[in-house]
Amino acid sequence: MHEIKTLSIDNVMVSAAEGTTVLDAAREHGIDIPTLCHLDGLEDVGACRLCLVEAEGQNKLLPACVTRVEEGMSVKTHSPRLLKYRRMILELLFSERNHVCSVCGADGHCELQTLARRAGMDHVRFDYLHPALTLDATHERFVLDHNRCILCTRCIRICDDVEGAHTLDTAGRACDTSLVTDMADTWSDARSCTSCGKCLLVCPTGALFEKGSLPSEHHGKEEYLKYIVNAQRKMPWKR
Amino acid sequence: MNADHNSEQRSRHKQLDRALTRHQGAPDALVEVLHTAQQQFGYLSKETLSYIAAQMQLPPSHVYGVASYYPFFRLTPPPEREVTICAGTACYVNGSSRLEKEIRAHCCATKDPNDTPAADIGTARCLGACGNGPIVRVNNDVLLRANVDDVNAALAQQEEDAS
Amino acid sequence: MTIEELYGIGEEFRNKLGTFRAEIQVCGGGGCLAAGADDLLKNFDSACRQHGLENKVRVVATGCMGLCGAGPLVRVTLNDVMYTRVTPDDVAGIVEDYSRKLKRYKERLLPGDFAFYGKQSPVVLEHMGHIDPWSIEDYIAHSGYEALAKSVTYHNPESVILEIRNSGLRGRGGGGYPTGLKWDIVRRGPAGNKYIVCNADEGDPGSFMDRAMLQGNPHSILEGMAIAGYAVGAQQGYIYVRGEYTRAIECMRHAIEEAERMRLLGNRIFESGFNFHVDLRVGAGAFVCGEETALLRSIEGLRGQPRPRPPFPSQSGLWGKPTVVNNVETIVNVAPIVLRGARWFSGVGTKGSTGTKVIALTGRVNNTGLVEVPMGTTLRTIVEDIGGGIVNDGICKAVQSGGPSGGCIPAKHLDVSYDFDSLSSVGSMMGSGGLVVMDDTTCMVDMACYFMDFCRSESCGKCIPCRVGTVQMHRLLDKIRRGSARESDIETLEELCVMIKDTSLCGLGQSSPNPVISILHYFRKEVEQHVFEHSCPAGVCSFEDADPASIAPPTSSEDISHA
Repeated sequence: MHEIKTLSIDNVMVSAAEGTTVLDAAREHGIDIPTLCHLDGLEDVGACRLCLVEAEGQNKLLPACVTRVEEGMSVKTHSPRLLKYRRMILELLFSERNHVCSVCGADGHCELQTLARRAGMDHVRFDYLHPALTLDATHERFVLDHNRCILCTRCIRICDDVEGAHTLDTAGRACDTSLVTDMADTWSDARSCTSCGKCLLVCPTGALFEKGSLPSEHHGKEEYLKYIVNAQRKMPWKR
Repeated sequence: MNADHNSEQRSRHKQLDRALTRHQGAPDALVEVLHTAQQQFGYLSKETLSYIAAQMQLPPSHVYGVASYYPFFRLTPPPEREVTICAGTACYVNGSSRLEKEIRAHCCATKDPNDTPAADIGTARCLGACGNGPIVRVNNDVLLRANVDDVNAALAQQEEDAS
Repeated sequence: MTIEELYGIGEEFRNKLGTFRAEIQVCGGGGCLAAGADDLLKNFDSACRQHGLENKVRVVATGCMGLCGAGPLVRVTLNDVMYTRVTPDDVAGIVEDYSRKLKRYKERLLPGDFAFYGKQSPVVLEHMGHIDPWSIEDYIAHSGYEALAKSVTYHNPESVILEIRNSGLRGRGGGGYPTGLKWDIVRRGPAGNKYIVCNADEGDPGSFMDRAMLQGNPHSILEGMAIAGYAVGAQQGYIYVRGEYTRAIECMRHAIEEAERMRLLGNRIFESGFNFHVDLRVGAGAFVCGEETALLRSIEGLRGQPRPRPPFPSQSGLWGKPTVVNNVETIVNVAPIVLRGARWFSGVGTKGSTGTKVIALTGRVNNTGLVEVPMGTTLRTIVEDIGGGIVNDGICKAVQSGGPSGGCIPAKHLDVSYDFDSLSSVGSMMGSGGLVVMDDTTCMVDMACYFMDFCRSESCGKCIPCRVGTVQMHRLLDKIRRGSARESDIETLEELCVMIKDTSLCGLGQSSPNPVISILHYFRKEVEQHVFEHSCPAGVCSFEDADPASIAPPTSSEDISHA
C-alpha cells in the first residue's frame, strides 16, 4: 500500500498517495496548473515548462508533472513570478512559428490559444520568427502542418508508446527541430504508419488534422486515450 | 561502372555488417554504428540509414532522428573542398568573425557566378588549438594564426598536389 | 599482475631510460601538432641517426607541454632546456649542439626563469609533456597504476571514498559537486550494475584540457576510473569522447588495449576479486552532451537531450542504474590523492576549493596555453605573470571564465582569486576552466551576441525557454549591434535572462544567459552607448541598420567604461 503524503498547495492542505505527481495532486483538488506537453496516460518529458511551480525552501522551480509529492511540502502554483514566466513562455511559442488563429482550423479548440487567453497574453513583445515551413498533405487522410507545431511531442509519444508504430519522431535540433515521419520522407511514404489517427487526437494545436474535418471535431476524444492506455497496459478483462 | 558501384556498395555494407554484428544489435550501439557508417560512406544517406534501421530493428524515424540530431553526422555528401573557420571563443577574440567575412569575400570566389565555388566555407565550434587563433582548416590542413592569403595559398597548394 | 610485478615493470623501464644520455621530447599537443610537430619528430629522428645517436638519444613525442601559443615546443632533458617555435631548420643545430658538446644552441631557447612555468604547480599535468602517451611502461615508470594497486590491495572501498571526501575534491567539469559525496551515493545505491562515466565531451569553446589529457596521459584517466569503479562497486566504465578529437580517440583506444593486455583492466585486477572494463564511446558534436543526463542518453544510443533531474545519475543513470559521471580532470586527480593522501591535497588551494585547477588560457595574452595553478591564485597572476600580459602592451579589459555558461569579469576584479566561490561571487563560474582574456579590441555587445549565437545553435530544442528564448536574446543583441535597438529592448533582454535562467530544463539552458547578465551588469555603459549613441568603443560594430547620421565616430580606447 502506498503511504499517504500531506502537503500544502496554494495554502490548501491536500493529501495524496506516495508517488503521485504534484500536478495530479493539484488537479485532484481542483487547482489548475497549465500544461502543454503533459497528457494523462503518456510518459512525461517536462519540456514545456508551463507547469513549473515554486516549492518552499527550494531555489529552483519544479516541473509539477514530474515532481512527486513529499510530506510537508508547500507549493505555490500561481505566484506573480510564475504567471509572468508562463506568459513569456507562451509569447515565445507564438513568436516561434505561425500561430495566426484566424486562419487555423483549430481556432476555438486549441490548447495553446486557450492558455494564452487565460494568461492574458494580449500581445507578443518578441519578433515573429515564423519560418516558412512545409505542410505535408500527402497522407490519404491526415495532414501535418509544421507551421503550427509546438514540438510538445505528444504525438510522438502516443505513436510510440500506445500504437507501437513509432512512425513519428523529432529530427534536427535547436530551433530547427521538426517532426518527421519515418526517414523524413513524405507521410505517404511512411510505411510504418498504421493510419490509426491517435496523433491527431492528442495534438494541442492545429498541426495535425484530418482532411475534410476540423480539429474541433476530435475535440474531447483525448479522454478516450486513458481508456486505451489502461486497456493496453493492464488488460482488466483478462483477470 | 554501375556494377562496380554496386559491388563497392556491397563490400561497404559488409564492413557495416561487421560493426553491427560486433554490437550484436544492441540498440544503444546506434551512435557507434552511425560513426562506422559515416567512415565507410563519407556521409549517411537515407539508404544507409534505412539499412541500419532494418538491421538493428529500430524505427526509421528514430534512426533519422538520432542521425540528424548530431552535427558530426553528415546527411549529404561532403563537399570536395572545405574551408572551416574556428568559431571558438579564443579564436573569436582574435578576430575569427572578421576573418570569416574576408574569406567569404576574397577566397574561393570564382569570377564567373555560374562556376561552382572552389570550396565550401563553414565554421566549426572549436578546433581545439585555442592558443593559436584564429584557426582555419582547409580540408585536412590546419592553419594557425591564419589570414586570407594563407587560405588561398593552402587551396592552391592542395590543387597542385592533387594534379 | 601483482603489485611487485608492477614495480618490476617500472624499474625495468627506468633502467632502459637510464641507458640514454638524453631525451629530445617533441610536444604532441593539439597546437603543436597543427604547427608541424609531426614532421619535426621525423627530422629529429633522422638527424640523430645521422650523428649515430640513436642509442644515446631518445626522441619521443610527448603530450601537451603547455605553452601552446609558442609551438612547436621541444625539450632536451640533458640540461632541461626548452625551445619554442622550432622549425625544421633548427633541428640540425639542436642535435649537433648536443652531439659535439658545444655551447647551447641559442636560437628559440626559452629562458630558464620563464614566468609561464615558474608560477605553476602541476598535479594533474605533472607527467604530461614528459612521458610518451603511447607507452604504458612509461606511465608505470612514473608511479603509474600504483594508486590503483594500493587501493585494491590495501584499502577497502569505503576508505578510498573517505580519502576522496576528506581531500575536498570537487567536480572540475563545472558544477563543483563534491566528488566523494557523489561516489558515496552511488556506492550506497541498490546493489547490481553500476557505472563509471568519464565525461570527455569537451565542448566549451576555448577549452582544450580534456583533449590534452586524453592524448597526453591517457592511462591517468583509466587508472582514476578504475579506482572510482573499485570505490563504488562498478565493473564497467565508459569514456565519452568528443568525436572531433580523432587523435585523442586513437590514443585512448590504444591505452585501453595496453591496460587490458597487462591485466590492469579486465577481470581480477591485481589478483583481487575486482573486475573493471572500460569502453570508449565517441560523441558526435553536440555541445549539450556535456550535460550529464544528455551524455548518458547519448551513450544509450539516443538523441542526446537532457531530462529533468531528480533523479540524478548517481541514483538513476545509465539504463536506470546508479552512475558516477565525472569530468576528465576530476578523475585524473584521484590517483595523486590516493598516493599522497587527502591531507596533502586539502593543503593545496583554498578552504572551499582544494587542490589545483587546469586552465586553458587563451585570447589576447602573450603566453597562451594550458596551465595548472593552485586554487586561489589571483586572476592577475594568471593574466599578467603566467600569461605575460596583454599582446602589443595593451590593457586588459575583461576575462571570460567558464565558457558559454560563465561570465565576463571586468579588469577591476582581476585581484579576485580563481576558485569556485570567488568566481561565482563576481557573477561568473569556473566551468571547465577556460579563461579567455580580452583587451580593448573586444566589444562586449559583440561578445554577448557571440555567446548567444552559440547557445541558440547548441540548444537541444527540447524545452521552450532555451529553444526559443536564446534565439530571441540573440536577435535583441544583434539589433543592438546593428543600431536598431530601443531602450525597451534592454529591458526585454533582462527579463529574458532571468526567465531563461529560472525556467530552462537543464543546466546549460539555465546558465546560457550568464555571459549576457554579466555584460549587462559590468559593461552597461558600453551597451547603452551602442543603443543611444550608436557608438562602439572597440570599433567592432558597424550599426548597419541605424540612420548613418546618428552613428558616432569611434571613440578612443580610454573612453571605454569599466563601470
